[in-house]
Amino acid sequence: MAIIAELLGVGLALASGAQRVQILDKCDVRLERGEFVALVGPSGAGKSSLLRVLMGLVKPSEGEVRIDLPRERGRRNIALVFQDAKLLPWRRVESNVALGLEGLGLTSLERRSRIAAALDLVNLTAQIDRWPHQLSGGQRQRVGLARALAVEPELLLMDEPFGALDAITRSSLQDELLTVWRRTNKTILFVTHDIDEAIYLADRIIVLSGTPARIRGAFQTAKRPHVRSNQDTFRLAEEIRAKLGESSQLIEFEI
Amino acid sequence: MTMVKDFTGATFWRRSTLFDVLQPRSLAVLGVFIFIGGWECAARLNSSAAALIPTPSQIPAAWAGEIRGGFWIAAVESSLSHYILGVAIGSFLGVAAGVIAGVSAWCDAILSGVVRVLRPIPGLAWTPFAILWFGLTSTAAAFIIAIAVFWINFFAALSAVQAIDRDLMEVARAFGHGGFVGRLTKIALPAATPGILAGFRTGLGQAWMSVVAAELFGVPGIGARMMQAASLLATDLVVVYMLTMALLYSVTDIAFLAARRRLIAWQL
Repeated sequence: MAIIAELLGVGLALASGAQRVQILDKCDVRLERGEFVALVGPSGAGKSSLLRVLMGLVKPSEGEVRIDLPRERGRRNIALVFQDAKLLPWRRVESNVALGLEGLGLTSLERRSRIAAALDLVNLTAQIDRWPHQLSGGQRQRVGLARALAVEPELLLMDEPFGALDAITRSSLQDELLTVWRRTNKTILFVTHDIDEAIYLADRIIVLSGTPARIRGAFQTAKRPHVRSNQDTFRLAEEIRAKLGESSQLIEFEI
Repeated sequence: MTMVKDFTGATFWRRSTLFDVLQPRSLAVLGVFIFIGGWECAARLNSSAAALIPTPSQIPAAWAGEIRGGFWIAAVESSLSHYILGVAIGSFLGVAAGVIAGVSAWCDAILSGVVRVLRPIPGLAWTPFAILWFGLTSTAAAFIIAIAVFWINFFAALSAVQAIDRDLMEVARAFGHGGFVGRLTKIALPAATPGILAGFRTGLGQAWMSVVAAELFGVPGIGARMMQAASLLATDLVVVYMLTMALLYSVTDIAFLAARRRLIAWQL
């Protein structure tokens, strides 16, 4: 399988007042075309920072980001789904989805068909004329996903997209996401602090923790279709938890 | 029974009271009548005050006379021209400066010292310069109004832009609009529109106050006409023009609300 995105020894230090805080340290991540990778770690570990480095929103202070994707007309290589959807409240659903398409040189006909296709993927065609404040939390998150899908990215980065949703909505959106993934063959990097969610969704799970955050290990999940919980998922969750525990002991030790 | 909303927005039913039967709207009209009646009585009972305060019953005739003489139309036209010019220039420059200072930390830092010095100076204090630079002209009146309106719009726009959710700027960058123009047109301007409009509305009201003040030194208009009337003890005319201002203010405010409904439909 072809590697489409790679972080090589990435470190990130940000200025916080007079101090420099090391957020990421020597992170290596490799993403192959079409795979679904989950990045798990405790809140505040630096998972979102890693996404932003990959996205090119933040420059790493060490190491290298390699994106091996050709530039194509009318597309963006990478798209990001935000934690609280972050829709623009002054735009209706349709033009929220259009945000990433603006400036790509599409005709209005192309643009409209891309919006329709993206909304169809997330089953929100009927809500095309709504304002964001008229949508439920789950619907808003689906618009956020459609906005990212509309630019037809090869790599889809998702930053705890279902973290703020209730359990029932979350599990139905997880299933919808898997359907979208199968239908579009995207490469997905999915950030979450929910180990069970990671096991259910991903092929591969990368564990990030500590201060500064390092990659603590990687795990392969079972063959698809995944089930929500059985002996194997339980065992894997325990292993991942143990890995996270190790690194937190490590921090205490370092102090 | 009447359905009532409490301050949390929750609704409940309670027995109708006299208040519900009369409705706030009709109570408002009633209040106006009581006010005018009380004024009329007070003015008539105290005959020594006749030269100092007109009775409400004199007003319609005075108003009609003023219109027949052509003074009213001329004064309103002239004040409106000062008002519109002053509001347009002051609001435009105020919003532009406020948005730029809000988007660019550099501009904000550079402007903040100048702002601190100029801001406390009221528009009226510029009257000597207005006369020196523009003479007793409409431009001078518009200039004074524009200064008053400028600061209101500047601060409203600045704080509206500064209050924008920073994450939305990241959304803009993630979807290819990370440049200055992209952030300005895709995020800053639409997100700040409600705050900018609130400032603009305050400016619309404030500008009417400045109109009177700006015309006191002799530029023809409502303010000048009021001063003439007062010097002749024609207090009924003073009241006619006070009511004229109230009327014009209401008209501009209603027009503004109609326009705002279109501009920020997403909030309603």
